[in-house]
Amino acid sequence: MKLSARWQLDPVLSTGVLLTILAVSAFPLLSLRPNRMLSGRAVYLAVEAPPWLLTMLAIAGAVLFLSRRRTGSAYFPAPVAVRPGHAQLIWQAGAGLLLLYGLFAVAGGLAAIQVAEGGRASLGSGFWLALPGIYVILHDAAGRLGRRRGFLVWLLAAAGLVLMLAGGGLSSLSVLIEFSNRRDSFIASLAEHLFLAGFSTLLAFVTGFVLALLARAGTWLERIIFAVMNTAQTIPTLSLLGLLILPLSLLAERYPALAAAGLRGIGPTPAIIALFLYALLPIAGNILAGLRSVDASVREAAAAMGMTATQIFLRVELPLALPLIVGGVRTALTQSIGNAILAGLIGGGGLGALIFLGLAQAAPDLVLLGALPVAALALAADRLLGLLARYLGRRTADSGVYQGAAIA
Amino acid sequence: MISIRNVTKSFGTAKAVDDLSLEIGQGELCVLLGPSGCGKSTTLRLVNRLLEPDSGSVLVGGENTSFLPPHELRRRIGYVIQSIGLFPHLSVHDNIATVPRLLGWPRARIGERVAELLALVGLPDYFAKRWPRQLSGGEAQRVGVARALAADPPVLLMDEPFGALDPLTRVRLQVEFAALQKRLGTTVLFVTHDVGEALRLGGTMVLMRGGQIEQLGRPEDFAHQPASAFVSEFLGPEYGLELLGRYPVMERLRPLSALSSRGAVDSASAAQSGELSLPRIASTANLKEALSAMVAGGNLVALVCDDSGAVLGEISFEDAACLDKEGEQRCV
Repeated sequence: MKLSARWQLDPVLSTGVLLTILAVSAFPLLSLRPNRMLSGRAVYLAVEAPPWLLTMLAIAGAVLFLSRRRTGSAYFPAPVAVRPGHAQLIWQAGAGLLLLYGLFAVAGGLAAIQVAEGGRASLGSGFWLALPGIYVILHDAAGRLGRRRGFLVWLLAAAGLVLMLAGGGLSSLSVLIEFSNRRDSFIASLAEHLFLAGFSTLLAFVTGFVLALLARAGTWLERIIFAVMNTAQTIPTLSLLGLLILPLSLLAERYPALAAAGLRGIGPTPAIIALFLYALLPIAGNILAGLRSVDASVREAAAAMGMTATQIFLRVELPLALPLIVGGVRTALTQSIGNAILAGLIGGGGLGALIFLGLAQAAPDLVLLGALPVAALALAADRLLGLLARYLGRRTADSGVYQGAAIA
Repeated sequence: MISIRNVTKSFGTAKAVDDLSLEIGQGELCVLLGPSGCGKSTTLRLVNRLLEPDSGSVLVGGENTSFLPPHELRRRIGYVIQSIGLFPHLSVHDNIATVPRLLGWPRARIGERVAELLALVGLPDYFAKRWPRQLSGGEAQRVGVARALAADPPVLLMDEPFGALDPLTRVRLQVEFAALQKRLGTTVLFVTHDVGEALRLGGTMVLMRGGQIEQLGRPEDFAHQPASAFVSEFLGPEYGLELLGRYPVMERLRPLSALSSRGAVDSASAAQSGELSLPRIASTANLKEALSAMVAGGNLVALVCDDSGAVLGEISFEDAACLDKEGEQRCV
């Protein structure tokens, strides 16, 4: 059977909707346990939720699923004529947001009922499967709606969740109970985590800048610097941490002054060194690429106008390289936030410590308490620095990924 | 204003400029012409020290350029290139303001100067707020010229500045620039490989080959006394015709009465009533255009009309096909 382009089913949207429907109907939304250690009873939305809610969800899902769409994806926009209209996209974004709020509200509400009867309610596999489904629906709509409206979609999603959290609507969930039990150590871990990722990225930025300038000066220097950085990047994170333990402890043993300054085989120092080494390549590489991306004719014009070498660097090359430089920091920081989890293994602290403690105690809520903020931090760093890079490049870059969709 | 004295510049073993000497007077427009690789761009870049000569010296305004710091020298010399090289992260205003800012002009004076320059290159003042990305090729090069002229430099270097533009825009900018140069009296060294461009700009022509000057002089000299077979070959078989494009028909205008003596028309009044079928050309046309109109109209005489269509006089084939005063005598 051949579908006409106009009525073709959208593969992205239908995947998201199918995943969401499957998740909330066939998988347990919550898991109810008498205490933290014992395994629990599954709570299915289809069994527990009132019939009117199920009917509404079914209608929303069916309408979304059946709203067939014209072709063209956010990344490879089809010609304007065959792209979906704005009304369709706004409807899709609205439905996606309602599903998101609904999922959290229902989970929080059911949890409150169960907790009132005694026991702990943790989020079940249905919830975790529905989240990516809804994410796909929202991401597709936001991507096609263009930069500003797309940002608004994410802002509304985040604001709704923050409101529910602040209003206490979710506080019966076991993760949040875990949080309120450990509020102080959680905040300390979060601060450590931010320090590990932020400080190592800052160090890598300063060093990477110097290395990029050196690499620019000579080709053989470039080859050496990038060979070393590539090697560091290739070594698996855990291996690198392991490899650092021995030499660092030997150093600390031999020179007590270094040990007094915090240099040891375990603890935050080796973690920062490892994260620093990982961050170096994306940062130095992007700085070099950014400086090289400056058009030769622009550089020649700057020299011919009578700018000195310093003026050319500060007034022309650096501003033009900035979007790419920020892009490098974006990659490095996002990666460092994730990798900093491993600091928990070698006594370096951070949210990884919570995760590994949870794993050791077989307490999934503790694992979540560590993992969720890391994921949120990484996503936030990626989005914010991405926006900054795009803002800085708005005068010079050709149409970006979302700009094609913005015309629709 | 610019003295190039026995300058040699090699890249590896190849001599790009070979013992070249050239004097360019104050207010003169000198066109360096030649095929690719003849050393014309190298010569240009030796003047503002984007390249340093191996031997010989370059003087600008009587000063030996090698005694000045390059950035100070360059702030006094405008530079326009084919790829324009506008700073993409700066607005048109800030692009034009580059050199005045380097020279530390006060803000108010820079603002006035930018407005003045936009008017000078024929762009409306709201262009100041635009970004280079938003400009067409012709607009961008107008900004490029404005930027080069910003600090009112006594010398302007131009390296095929209009080469990347479409033919219509190119000719318009060439004609406008030639007029602008006469008005400002800036000394210009202009590099091109396009003979037509050299002729439209006027001024002294310098034909280069293998890093040396093959011939130097007025465009007419190249037609009457080509220095070598290479000169004739480079200028092409239509060079004589191209040259005619330099002369306005108004210089050769004759009163209409001469027409009747040739028997081409019965009376002057018939011509003025518009019944005449002779080809008509505008008073702003040049001799090449006059010849073209005669060929198209199948007649040896053309009528010259003003904007309103009134006949000002006539021009004959003999008048139109002569290069200059001496030529005129040869024709008759």
